[in-house]
Amino acid sequence: MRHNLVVPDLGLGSRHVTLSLWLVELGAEVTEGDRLVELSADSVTVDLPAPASGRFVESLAVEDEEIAVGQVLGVVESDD
Amino acid sequence: MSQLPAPVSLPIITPEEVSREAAPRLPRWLKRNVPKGNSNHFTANLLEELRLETVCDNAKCPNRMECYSQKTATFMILGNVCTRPCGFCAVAKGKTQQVELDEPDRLAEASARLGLAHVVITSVTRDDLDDGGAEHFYRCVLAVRERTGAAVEVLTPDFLGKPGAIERVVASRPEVFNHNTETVPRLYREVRGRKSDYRWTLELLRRVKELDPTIKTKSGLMLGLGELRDEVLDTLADLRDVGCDLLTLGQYLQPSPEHLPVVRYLPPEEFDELGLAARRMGFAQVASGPFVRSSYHAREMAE
Repeated sequence: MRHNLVVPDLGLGSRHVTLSLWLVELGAEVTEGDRLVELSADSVTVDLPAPASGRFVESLAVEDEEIAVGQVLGVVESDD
Repeated sequence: MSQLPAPVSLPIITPEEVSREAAPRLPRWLKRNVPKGNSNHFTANLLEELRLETVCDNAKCPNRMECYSQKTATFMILGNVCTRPCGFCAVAKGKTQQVELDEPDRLAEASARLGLAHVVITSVTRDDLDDGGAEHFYRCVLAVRERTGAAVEVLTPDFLGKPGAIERVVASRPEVFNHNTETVPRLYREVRGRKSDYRWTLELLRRVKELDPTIKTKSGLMLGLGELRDEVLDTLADLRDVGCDLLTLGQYLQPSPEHLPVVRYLPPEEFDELGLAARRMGFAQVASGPFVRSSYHAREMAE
């Protein structure tokens, strides 16, 4: 099953955030809650957690890219 | 000082190192959790409806997700354009706006609808006004108190020492009178601009206490701008000498590449140590931590 990693609304009024850094490599096994990617907007920085346990199979944005709230950043594929 | 725990090592950093270390990667302790839900939209929508400004938005405060979700905010009166180009601050600088005479009523309305028991009112610096905006502060405090019965904390600029300004704000009898020191004397001009004077900051706090000893005075410093530990402790001693009751110590975060760089990210344990030192100096309440800002959890501090 595919689980999308979606850019959350950080509650800052801005509809965009910047992808600062991928924290795991493509193809890595991850556990639900693991920090996958660092996002920043204004003075706020957050780490987005893995939505499920499985393999990180797709990254759809690159570092320093400005991305919209609601956009899919990546995909984690689980066995179930 | 001998009773204090051993201080965390604080190296002297050369200008070359400052340049090299500009905008270092944010340490993990300065990352926020992803907010759950969108409860902060209520606050944001209300502020927009009532055409109110907050320092939270204008200064890009890293705590605003948390504060808005708890239906709190620090109102910023007298417009959203400041007359001083402080190197640390993200509030816009330039041509100021006309003072809106209905702003006190709108502020009171927002405070009532948010159900606030402790209202924090700050402003842009208005050196262009004859009284620096003191009369407007007075009207805002009275309007909020009359409408809500809430405790009011003012966080004022230094009014450029204009005669009668402090007296006018004190006459509104805020529960807390906050004026930020921001940094140590050696860095004052660089951080706060040429119009700001460390001695006047101390004099303002002393004068408030002299006018009304029942008002709690409060001040705060941003750390990580290149100050030394002993300079911080000397500044805290100066604040105690003028009777300052409440203290905030927080990490400076660079709002944009155009602002002063962060020289150092202090680890949480160093904030704990400085907070302990401040309490032993006699401050009644101290908030010291990486995310502490001058009005962060202000109600809890004032109680």
